[in-house]
Amino acid sequence: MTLVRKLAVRISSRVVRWASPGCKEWAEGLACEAAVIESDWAALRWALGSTRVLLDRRTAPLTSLDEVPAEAKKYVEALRAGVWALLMPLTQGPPFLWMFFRAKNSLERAGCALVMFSSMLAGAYTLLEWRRQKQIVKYEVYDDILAWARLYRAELARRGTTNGIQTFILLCWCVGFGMAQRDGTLTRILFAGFGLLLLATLPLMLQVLRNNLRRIEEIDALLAERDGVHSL
Amino acid sequence: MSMKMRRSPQTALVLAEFLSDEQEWRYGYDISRNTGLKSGTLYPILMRLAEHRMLKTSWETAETGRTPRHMYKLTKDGLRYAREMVSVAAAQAVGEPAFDGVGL
Repeated sequence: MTLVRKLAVRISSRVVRWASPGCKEWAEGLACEAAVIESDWAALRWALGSTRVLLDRRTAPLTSLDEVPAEAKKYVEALRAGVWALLMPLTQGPPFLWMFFRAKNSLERAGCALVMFSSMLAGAYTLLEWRRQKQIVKYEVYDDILAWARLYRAELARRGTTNGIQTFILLCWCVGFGMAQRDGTLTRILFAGFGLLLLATLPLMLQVLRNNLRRIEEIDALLAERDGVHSL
Repeated sequence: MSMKMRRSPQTALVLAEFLSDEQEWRYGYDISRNTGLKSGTLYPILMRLAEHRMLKTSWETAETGRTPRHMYKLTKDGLRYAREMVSVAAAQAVGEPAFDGVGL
């Protein structure tokens, strides 16, 4: 085996290993094709092209409704943990209210106001989410696949909105915190960097939304299939 | 709420390739060679088609000493979509001026 061929095989096997669960089969398909390509250089080009699959992060597809409760529970647990993501902006309201009255210029004052605004939003959002999570607990009492499927679908559908709200609150907090710093150029730069980092996560959020849409379609297809079987 | 299939010229190429022999299972590398698309372009298209239930996939039955290959074939929905899309692409190609973009 030539060095080029070895490299192609190594790249293909890495792609298979690192591919997301939903893309594993495709990565394996690509690797098998690389193995049958006669020209070593063509195999290498093929293997290099196959790394594109690594960018697509997909969850393993749902194959039956029986898998839904476990997946939904996992999702709900993750949501519960995420409720406290806004703890930082939430706790910053009172100190920045105090700073607001002691601010020396309008920039500081506007920064404090922005942090207080984000704190209030974070408080309202956390409270509403916490109440909603309490409602979800009721579903756990029943071992009903359909209830889980409906809950899972609804939660996936509203993920886009909740992500948007959380990002907006965190951005307000970052910008406000940076503006409210007195003679803190470094702090301002740090917080601007953090804000930019937050914006840089947008493609990741879009990927999550795409995965959610995919999952919703899978659930719909499974539910339609089930309805079809029951109507026979 | 549903994701839309992207109508790109590359997708039209892949679909036209599938239409050239509708009943045959196709290999990724063969499609790539016939369409001139690289693996990094072709596979996302195949994945999207499968996601929209327009493409079915299967593994070749393993023969001794030969790696089983992943095979692809259009579903009924896929065939319908492919015919529609390829005819639209053909109509657009006919409508385009022959020397469009060529500075004379």
